[in-house]
Amino acid sequence: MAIDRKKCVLCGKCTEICLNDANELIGKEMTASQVMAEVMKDKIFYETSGGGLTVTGGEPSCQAAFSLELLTLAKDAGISSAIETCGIGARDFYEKAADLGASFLYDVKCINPVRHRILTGADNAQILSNLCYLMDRGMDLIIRLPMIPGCNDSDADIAALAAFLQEHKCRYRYAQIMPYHALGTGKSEKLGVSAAFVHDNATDAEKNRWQSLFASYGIDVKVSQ
Amino acid sequence: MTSIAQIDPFLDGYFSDETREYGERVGLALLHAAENLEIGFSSRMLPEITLEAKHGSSGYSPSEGLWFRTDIITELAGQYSEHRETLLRYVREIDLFKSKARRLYAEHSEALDRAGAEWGGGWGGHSNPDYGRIVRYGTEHIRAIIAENRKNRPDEAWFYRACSYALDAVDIFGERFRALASERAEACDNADDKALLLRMAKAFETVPKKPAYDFTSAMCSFMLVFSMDGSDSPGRFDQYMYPAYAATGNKEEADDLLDRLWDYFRDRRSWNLCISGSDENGNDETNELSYAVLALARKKRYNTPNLTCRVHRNTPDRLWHEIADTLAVGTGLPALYNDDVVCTALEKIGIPPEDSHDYCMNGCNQIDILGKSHMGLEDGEVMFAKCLEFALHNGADAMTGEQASVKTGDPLTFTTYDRLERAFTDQLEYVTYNACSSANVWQHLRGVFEPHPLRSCLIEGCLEKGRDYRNGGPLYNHGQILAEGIADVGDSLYAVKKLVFDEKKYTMSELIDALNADFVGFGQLRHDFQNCEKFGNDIEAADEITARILNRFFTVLKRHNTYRGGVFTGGCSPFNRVADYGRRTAALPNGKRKGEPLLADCIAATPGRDTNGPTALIKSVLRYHQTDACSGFVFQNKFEKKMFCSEEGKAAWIALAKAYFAAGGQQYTVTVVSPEDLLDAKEHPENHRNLIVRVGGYSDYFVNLEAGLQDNVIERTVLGI
Repeated sequence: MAIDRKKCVLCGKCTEICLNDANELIGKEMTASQVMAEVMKDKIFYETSGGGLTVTGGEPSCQAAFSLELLTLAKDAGISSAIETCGIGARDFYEKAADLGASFLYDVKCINPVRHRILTGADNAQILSNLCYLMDRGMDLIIRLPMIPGCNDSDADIAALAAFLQEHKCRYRYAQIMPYHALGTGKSEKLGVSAAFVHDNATDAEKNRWQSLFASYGIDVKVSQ
Repeated sequence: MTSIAQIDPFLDGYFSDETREYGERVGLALLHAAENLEIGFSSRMLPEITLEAKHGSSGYSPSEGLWFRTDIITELAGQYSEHRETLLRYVREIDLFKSKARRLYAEHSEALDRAGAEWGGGWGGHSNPDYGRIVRYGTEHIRAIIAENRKNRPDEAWFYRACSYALDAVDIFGERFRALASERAEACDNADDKALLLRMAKAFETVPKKPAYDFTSAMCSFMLVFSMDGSDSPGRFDQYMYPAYAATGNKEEADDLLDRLWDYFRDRRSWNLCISGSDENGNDETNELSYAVLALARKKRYNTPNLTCRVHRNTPDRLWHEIADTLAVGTGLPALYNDDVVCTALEKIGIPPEDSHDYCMNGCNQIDILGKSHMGLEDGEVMFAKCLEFALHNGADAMTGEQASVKTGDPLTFTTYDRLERAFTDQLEYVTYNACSSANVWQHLRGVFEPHPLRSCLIEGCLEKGRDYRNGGPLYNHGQILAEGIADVGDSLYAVKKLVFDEKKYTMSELIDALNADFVGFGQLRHDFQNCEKFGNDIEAADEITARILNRFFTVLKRHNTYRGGVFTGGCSPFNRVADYGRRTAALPNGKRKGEPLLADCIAATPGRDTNGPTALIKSVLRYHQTDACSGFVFQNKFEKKMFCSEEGKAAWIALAKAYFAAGGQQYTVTVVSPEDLLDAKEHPENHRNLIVRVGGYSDYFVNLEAGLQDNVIERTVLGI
């Protein structure tokens, strides 16, 4: 199957016509209340798990109005909500999300601002400032540490992260390493783009090294399975 | 000279007085067996009785009762010339008796059977006798019940004699084991073994006549009667054995005996053992023995016994966590049952709460009341997909063209969707009726020809009524008919409703042509039908048809009475027959091709058609009236091993299971395995001999499954939460 991406207008007709379902359209446009109706279908599960709605990405702060509308609807429906974010959004967004009582799954990728810019293309001042703001407000926070072998997992990187976590100890629920995995490569292929970064899945040895380095600074971090 | 009693004690006992009633002669066969059969200990030195004559010429089994192999008896007649005439006469008598049985079984709906639409009653099934009755009270107690009831029922004197012979047999075996244990102990060099043998010899001075006084004596009593009954389903083992377990001072000894017992269960492929549960007031009945059973299941990792764990709203957290830990070892055990739904279902058919809360499983998923019922066997099965095939072909079997069922109208004349659904439910009712009446013929036959004097002593009602276990004696005598291929039919009907009647994109005539051509030349049509919304995605319009037709089946079943004296009820557990049913079914409007083996996974979606995740699938199956299913209503999820490796994963699974049960789910089975394991196991079975998957009602080794079923297991949506 060959697709001329330049001519594609995302109408989805091709998926209806092909008898072998060779192509598929993933995702659809929905209003916040439509999304909420879908979320509420699983209400029985929130009651036993304590779970609820997590607004995730992409990056929720890029669709701030929509994300906040969802959080408002969740609050009205009496279910707990959370936001998974890289922290780069405007302060206003985090203020409002905090007002709505959301929990935060907050990425911290690198402490060194220069290396952060090199790795992600953006400075981390805003990220760390938003994070401190949320900590000051006493919000429920899980700090996520995406670890990409050879990129942000040097001894110095981890020492800086550990120092940051040490400084803010007790101001977050827990910190958790998110080891790099290659599950997204299939997605790149389907989209017809070449992946910007490809690496093997993080190994158990790498995970152990990260965790024990943090431990050597007295910082207890979980490792996501 | 070798006596006939030595050659075949069953034969000897059975023919010792030919003037007696048949049931009594079965009792005599057991009695002669107890006096003459060789006895011994299991591989790990537990007392064990195998009720089979040494040449395999006869025996006594839980599903068939007393059985004879006339070909072997004929051989024996040649071997033992001094008994030649007698043995040959026995063969003639047995043959005559068997032919009577055959005559009684009327020729019945053979066309339907051949078409794979239903079967009824050909299988004797499992049971849950109360072995604890002998452990806790002793045979003396049962003799007292006999004495009290027999005086009021002089006409049934023969039945009570038969039961007394069975109890005599239990006592005689006990006495012989006492002697054997002492004798072995004397010759034994190993100090531990010697101690065990001496303990058993001492125990058999008391049991089985009197109540057990500690765990060793309880185990001796249990093993005696459990192995005599064919090592079938132990039932609520943690409840009736707990008093002895709790009373035992030496925990190590008790756990050692349990360890030995688990090996015995594996060697004999014992069926279903049930732990935990609640009483009629909702009080939790979990005890230390329940936890000991789970610990053994984790340690041994056998696929037997089929382990059931009853849960309810007051199940303690510790039990939930140990269940998750046990599932993590990958045997697919335990299967979970929800008291809140099962007991309600049983109460709806008239079983009072104090008894409904004594339910347990036998065999795979069949619900029985421990020591009070004869209902937990599969009496028959109805194939939904075949009924739809009939409805779409005016009662003809589309595989052969034969008019296999009733005419419910030419679908080309149907102007509304409701008319089509009625044609289907008419077919379903007709086929269900046939399954029930076929089951009743068999129930009658078994009532007459397979008396079970031993089980009659272990199941309440029999001695009180003076009627055999097979013949309506137990307190509850309901029947169970299983449904297969439910979602395939629901998906098909929904697609026809949508594309033919609502949107009018295709005509019925085009659809029938496509089905007859097995979709060859109808690619677009098949594609459209395949891509309609499917059951299992929490989409109400698609789900409601599937739920409605199964609910209809439950209603229809309850109108039919069983021969034994109850009503028929329904359930769904596919076993390994589902692939075969698929092969015997023509093309269906859900896109299934002729003879394709894949069909709906029990009550869940057709494999691969549930694409909205596990919670949506759960919401869909909750649309069934689960409190109308009195035979296992199997809902299975397969999980990757990874899921059960972390505390978070386990907690997520527990929340999922609790949500399903709180919302009205009845049964939940979990398989923990990685999909790579399965694919690799199909390629390289030699490397995966111990890979266990849950197949509907039981766990089995993946490599033992036939290819069609392996594909089904692989295709079941692999879930991650």
